[in-house]
Amino acid sequence: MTRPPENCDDALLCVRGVKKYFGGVRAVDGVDLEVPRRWIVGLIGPNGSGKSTLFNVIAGVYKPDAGRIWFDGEDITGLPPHEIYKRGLVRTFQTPRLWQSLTVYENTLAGYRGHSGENPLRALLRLFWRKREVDNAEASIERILDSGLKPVAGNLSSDISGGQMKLGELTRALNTKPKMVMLDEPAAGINPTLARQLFERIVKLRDEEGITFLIIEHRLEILFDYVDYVYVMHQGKIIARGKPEEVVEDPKVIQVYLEG
Amino acid sequence: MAVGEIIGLIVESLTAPLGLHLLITGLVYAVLVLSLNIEYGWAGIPNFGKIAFIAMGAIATHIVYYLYVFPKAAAYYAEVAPDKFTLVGLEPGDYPKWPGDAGSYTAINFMLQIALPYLQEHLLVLFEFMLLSAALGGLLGAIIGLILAYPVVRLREDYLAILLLMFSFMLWNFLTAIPPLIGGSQGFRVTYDPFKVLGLGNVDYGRLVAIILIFGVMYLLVDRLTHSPYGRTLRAMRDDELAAATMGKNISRIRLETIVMGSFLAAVGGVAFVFILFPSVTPDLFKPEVTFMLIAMMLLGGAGNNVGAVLGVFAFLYIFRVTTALTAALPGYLGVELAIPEGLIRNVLTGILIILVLFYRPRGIIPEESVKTVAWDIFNKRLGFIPPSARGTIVLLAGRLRNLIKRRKG
Ligand SMILES: Nc1ncnc2c1ncn2[C@@H]1O[C@H](COP(=O)(O)OP(=O)(O)OP(=O)(O)O)[C@@H](O)[C@H]1O
Ligand SMILES: [Mg+2]
Repeated sequence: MTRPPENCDDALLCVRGVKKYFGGVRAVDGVDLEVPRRWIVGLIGPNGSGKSTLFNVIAGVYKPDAGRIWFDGEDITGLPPHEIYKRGLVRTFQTPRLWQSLTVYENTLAGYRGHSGENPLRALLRLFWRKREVDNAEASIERILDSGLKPVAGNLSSDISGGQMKLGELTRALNTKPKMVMLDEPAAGINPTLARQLFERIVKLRDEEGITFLIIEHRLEILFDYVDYVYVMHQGKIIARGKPEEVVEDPKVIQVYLEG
Repeated sequence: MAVGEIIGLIVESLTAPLGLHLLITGLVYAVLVLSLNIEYGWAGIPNFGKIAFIAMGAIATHIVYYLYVFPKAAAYYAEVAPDKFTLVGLEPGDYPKWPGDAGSYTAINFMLQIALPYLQEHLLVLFEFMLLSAALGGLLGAIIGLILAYPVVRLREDYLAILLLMFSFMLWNFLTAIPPLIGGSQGFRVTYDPFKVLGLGNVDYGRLVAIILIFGVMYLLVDRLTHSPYGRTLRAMRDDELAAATMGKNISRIRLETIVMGSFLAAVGGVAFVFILFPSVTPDLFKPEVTFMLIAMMLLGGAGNNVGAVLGVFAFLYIFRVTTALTAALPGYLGVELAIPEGLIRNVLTGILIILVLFYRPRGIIPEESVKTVAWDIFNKRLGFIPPSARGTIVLLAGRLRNLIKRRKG
């Protein structure tokens, strides 16, 4: 366990030299990245540039082939996903992964941390967990009303639209009281008006609950109106970084996006 | 020609009352299926070796027999009827001291001549015997479950399924080959005679009362365990492991806990299986294929639904009854003696009927429902959601009807 590097000291998330290869494919090829507290940071790049893979490495789905990752000052490199969750870092998936045989509401309920009712012996006696369950239920319902999922809250999560699945995943992630949320294309499949509302909610969550965000998004015209900072990935490497208005002017970025 | 008769036969076997024996059988299997349902139905852990954990109940019973019942029986008869010992070639007061003597001639004779009569006269000892066996069996089941599952819980479920299946084959062979387990191929005998006190003198009523009590406790336990945040977590793990891990669930630990718990309950159920259903215990009661019958019962009723699982047992028994009647009538209709064993035809027919039911009700007779905790009540109260139940269907239909009438008027 090493201490985070000097220039990364007060960032919430700090990534240094992370590599992840799949056979010959250099999906992530030496990425340095930091996300300061209470910032909303965008991660963009063409298809296949390694954005989702980087998320998977940070979230513990893959162990990196090289490099280290710190979260909140602690080295989290190679920890399993549930340990990373414990430290307050949660993520959503590019293809939503809600629990299909649970209702949307139950999905949002299952993310809470430290629920004693999840212990098999305590589960037997309701008085151990009833109060906590009531609180969680009330909070979940508030979030559902907030997210526009009310009409489908009682549906099985396999029976809702793709956009609603994205919203469901976000709601589930927020219920974990995270320090930081990583969103993989949150606005995919959501209409422009709703997408803007979604980003406004994200800004509000940052302002009111102090949550830090790292967001992968292809819809730059929406993303750039809300983020503080942007990283651009291409072929596994960060090719540019800066404020949105700086990044759009960067000739390297323009070229990468023109190439498709 | 025969179609009418066949239908008559089916109707007859379906409408005939269940009968005491079938009811007892059903409830014993229901106890076993409930423990399978936690693992398989709720948590998605394919325990293909379930029967091995049920056998732990029998092994524990056998051990308790030697360590607890034999000394008591020996001491009792040494006083009141010393000649019983000389009859089976023992010194008065002597008894087979440990399960290692199981295969020997004396142990079996001792059981039949001394231990069984003793149990028949001493009700309290029988119940102590059962309780101790259940406690030891549960412990044994839990420990073996832990040992077997620990190395593989981190891997995909298939590995666990195969490992447990192989274990159940191995144990089945061991039960015959290693007499200390359950007495080798001769097995051992307990008795359910004393249950007659529970049934006002009728043994079968007594057995029914006993199994209703055991089933009741088991059902309550399983229902409390599953309709809780823990049950929700199990389903989450079953549906999508990665998503569950991302939401903080420690998958290996939960799997291990669930297997330990399922194995504990299976072994306790195994004690009921021995004492109430099969007091003549032999290795063949624990053939690996029994697991698949239990799985079929669970799927038939509705995996992940506790009521469904219980219902599935009885559905299975009814199907079995129909196919038994049909098979018995078959040679008569065909006018020839069958070259294929009857049991085989019956099993094929049973399989076909189960597949037919599952074809029309793929999620079982009563499909899985929402986890019912206080959160579910709160949700219904605040968002007025009506679950897809009978009540829901009625409200839905009423709404449709109202719309239809409105449209007619408008
Ligand atoms: N599990 C895997 N096994 C093998 N190759 C993989 C795997 N995951 C990703 N890759 C490869 O790694 C590269 C980066 O993929 P990744 O999904 O990270 O891209 P992305 O930037 O998220 O793209 P998109 O914008 O399309 O989502 C691609 O070439 C992809 O084919
Ligand atoms: Mg991606």
